Amino acid sequence: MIYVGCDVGSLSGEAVIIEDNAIVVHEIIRVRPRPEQTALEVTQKALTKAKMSFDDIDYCVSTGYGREKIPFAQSSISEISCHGRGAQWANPSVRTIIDIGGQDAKVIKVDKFGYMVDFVMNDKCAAGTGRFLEGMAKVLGVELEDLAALSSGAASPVSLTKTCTVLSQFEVLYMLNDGIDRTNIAAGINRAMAERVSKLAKRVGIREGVAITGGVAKNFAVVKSLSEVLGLEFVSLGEVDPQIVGALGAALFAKERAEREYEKGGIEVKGVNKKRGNG
Amino acid sequence: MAEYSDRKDRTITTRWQISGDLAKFILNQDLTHLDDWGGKEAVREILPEHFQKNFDMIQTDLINCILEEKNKQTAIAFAENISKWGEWLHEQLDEGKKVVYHYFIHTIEPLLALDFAPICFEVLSGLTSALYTDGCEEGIDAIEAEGYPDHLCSSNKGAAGYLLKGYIPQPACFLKGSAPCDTSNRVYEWAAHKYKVPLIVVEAPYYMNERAHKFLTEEIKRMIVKLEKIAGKKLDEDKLRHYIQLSNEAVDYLAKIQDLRKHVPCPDTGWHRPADTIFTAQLGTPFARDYFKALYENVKERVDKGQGVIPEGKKEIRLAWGYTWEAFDLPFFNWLENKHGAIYTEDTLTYFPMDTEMIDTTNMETMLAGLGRRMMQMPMARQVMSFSDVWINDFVDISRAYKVDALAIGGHMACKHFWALNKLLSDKVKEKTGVPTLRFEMDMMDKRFTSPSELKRIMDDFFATF
Amino acid sequence: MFYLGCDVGSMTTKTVILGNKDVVAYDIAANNGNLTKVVETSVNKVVSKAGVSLADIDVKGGTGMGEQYIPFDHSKEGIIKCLAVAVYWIHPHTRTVVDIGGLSTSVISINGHGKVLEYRTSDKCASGSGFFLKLAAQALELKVEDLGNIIIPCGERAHMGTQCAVFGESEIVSHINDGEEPEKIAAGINYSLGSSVATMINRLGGIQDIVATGGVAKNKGVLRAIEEILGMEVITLSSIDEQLVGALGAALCAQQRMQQG
Repeated sequence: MIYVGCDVGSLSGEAVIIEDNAIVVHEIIRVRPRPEQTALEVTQKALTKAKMSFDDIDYCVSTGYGREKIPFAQSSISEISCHGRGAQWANPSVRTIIDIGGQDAKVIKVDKFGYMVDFVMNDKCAAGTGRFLEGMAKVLGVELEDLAALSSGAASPVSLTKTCTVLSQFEVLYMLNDGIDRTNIAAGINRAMAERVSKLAKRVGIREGVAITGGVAKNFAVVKSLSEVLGLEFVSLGEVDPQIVGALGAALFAKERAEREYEKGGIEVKGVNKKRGNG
Repeated sequence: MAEYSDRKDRTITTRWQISGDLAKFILNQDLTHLDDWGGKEAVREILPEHFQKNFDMIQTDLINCILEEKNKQTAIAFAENISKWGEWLHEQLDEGKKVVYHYFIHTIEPLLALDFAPICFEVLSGLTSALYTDGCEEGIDAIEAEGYPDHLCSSNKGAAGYLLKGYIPQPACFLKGSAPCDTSNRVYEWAAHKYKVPLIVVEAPYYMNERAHKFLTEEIKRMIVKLEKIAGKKLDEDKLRHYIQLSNEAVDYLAKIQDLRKHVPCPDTGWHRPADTIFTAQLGTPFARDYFKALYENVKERVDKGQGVIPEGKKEIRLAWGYTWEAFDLPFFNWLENKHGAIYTEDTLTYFPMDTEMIDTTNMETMLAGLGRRMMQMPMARQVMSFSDVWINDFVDISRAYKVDALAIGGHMACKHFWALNKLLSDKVKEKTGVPTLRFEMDMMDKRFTSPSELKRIMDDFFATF
Repeated sequence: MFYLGCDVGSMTTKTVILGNKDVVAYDIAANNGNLTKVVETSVNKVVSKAGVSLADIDVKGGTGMGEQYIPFDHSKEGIIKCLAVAVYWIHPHTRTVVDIGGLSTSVISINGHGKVLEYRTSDKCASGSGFFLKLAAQALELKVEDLGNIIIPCGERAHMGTQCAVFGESEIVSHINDGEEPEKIAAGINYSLGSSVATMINRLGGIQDIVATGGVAKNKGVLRAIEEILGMEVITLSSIDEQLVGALGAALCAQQRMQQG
């Protein structure tokens, strides 16, 4: 049985295909103007990679922004639940998930089954989200992917006093003007990011077994800084790419839903007949 | 060398005790600044070993601040009395006396007379915040991780976190007046429930009049009956009289000092405003009396000499603070004086109106009535009684009587009462006295909200508008 | 006698030279590259426009968030006071100054003698700032100046849901992708900004005459939005460019300082 999870974020879209409780393939792309386009493209890419087609999908769950609008998904589930589920599958000891996305940051507490117990989210202010780092990379004149490496070996990281993404960009501009080393600035940026996320995390309370997910989880410098600020080591997600955790959770929910519907008996779950919006 | 307890549940109070002794030690050396001896590291080397760890924890700026000539004498009095209080408290605990955690608006004479060991919960947060670089953030984080909302008052959160971590002794009961706020009530309810001890509530009346006074006095009687049950003894009139006499003495000095602050130039330094509240929370102890006595003598001496506390040649800017100070940076007041010539004359938490009478100690009835009247005047209880007229009029009066040049209102972020009326207060003071206002946000005991450097920047900007 | 005032803001540096009664020369420069050089170049321009040399000017005042980058001797003046002094000097009926700058907005309440009674600055967050307008204009492929002239009645404006300048940019892109007309989006942006500023004015208590200054005060759409929400008139000074008020204030404050000795 082939199950697909599709997660449309603000900056990236992911698709995960699972079969026999293992990940077959995953795909990550930059968002298209519309969520439906992103979902279609990333899922298509994943299917092509796996040498499959839409007809092969037994059940698909969509999550993230615009999840209701995805025509080839049988149901949609919130990204909070999907992240919880996905992370806990990757490592059963996970009880707290810190997800730092493109335009939001969430901290999710889960039980041993991966079901959400509590969460807190910031989606009002760009500070502490991927956007913060994106803006900083621009000011420092580097690509986002290279921002992490920039801070290596910083002798005296700066202290950013402003929380706001825009205001702190100006603060950094002034520092550059004053001739402060970019390495130290980059280290200061990591710290500021970590402190902002840590503040959010403390509001819901950390339960041991903390995993970090989302695009920013791939920024090893921010992850290290966050680890220092929180005073703990993050648990590993094994082979699972931290950016696909939401889509993975969606795929797992797809499996669960499909199996439940099958047990109820009657509904043919396979195939493209299950297009939504047509009853 | 004093015997310092190493019990975990005396972590905070022992820390204070050591800090008090350490401060006395340093203040009695011939220093005007840590740099006289080569800076903090060098001074650490010459300290007796049992002081070194504590020395590392104390804010460097604070040490330099109290070494300044104008602050030295009262700093010695403060340090001495904190140390003595810590020692006394541990003796009480060793003797098996029961701990009553109480809110700031309660005066503790009945508790002392019933042989309890009273500790003001909020002072646990406040003094720790003031003395140490790490402040009371550890306590705040601990209680927030437990689920306590982050937007509630840090004065409660610090102490509650310490209780959770076992750094302070287990209580026999909690004592809380229903004033000033729901925020503070929540933490006492939680703690009583969690530690399965009684919570004694004193219902504070709404209005500020004779009927309210009668009501509150009855409430205090009810409080005493409940306390007696826990203490296992009856309240002795002579003992109560003894402690009330001590608190009367302290209040007398307090009232005199307050009056003397109206002088131009102001003879009382600003860091005392937070420092005073540590001892206002223990009126009835000899330590409170001794601290206020020393403070009074210091202030009176300056008044007699016509001296102020700002540098020669600087124009004095007299400030009043509409709500209250931040606890986490005591040297901030010193900085205000030295850099801007700005003296912090009065604020809500230290304002004891002059119509506070001494308690008549004739008999139990008069003493209880006196306690009732005093409780209605205690900072924060007074402000939330009746309509906002009381609070607002206080500040119009303060602005006039203290010849205030500017009203700074650093609103404590958790205080809903205050935020409800801060604009009314600011507008009224402006209307009646023409005094300019500065309104900004901060957290009293959590320096992460508005940092010490941010606070200074806000004040720099404000003084630039003069 | 000449007085110089220099206001180094977040996005621009403004310099004026004041004669006995009027501004005799001025310059507005974009803060691109090394700030000290920007200030130096701009000041030199102004000074030569006035037909003097920097050494001839005895009284020089500096203000703004980048004041520390002014390379010559000057007196440091607080921006709030500068704004209050300048606006009062030009228009003594002013009781509220609303300065909407590149990164922050300040609302200042003054009395009948021009004394600052109270003020508020939005310094925690860049929502409702000129910077956001710049981003928005870029996203809409319009000039910032043109953005200002777009005023569309309520009901036709595109709705801006977010306060955050960064997220706002995404929201604009969303609207464009949804096929919304750029004019309606622009009107929505102006209204959103105006509403942020109006809230700040209300928090302080706006009393007329309310005078708007700063770069964003050139945007009629924002001003009309503020008026609509406040129910009060918001005026701008006709005798001076809105962006120059801070610099004028710095010159006036430096002059006052010199006269007080």
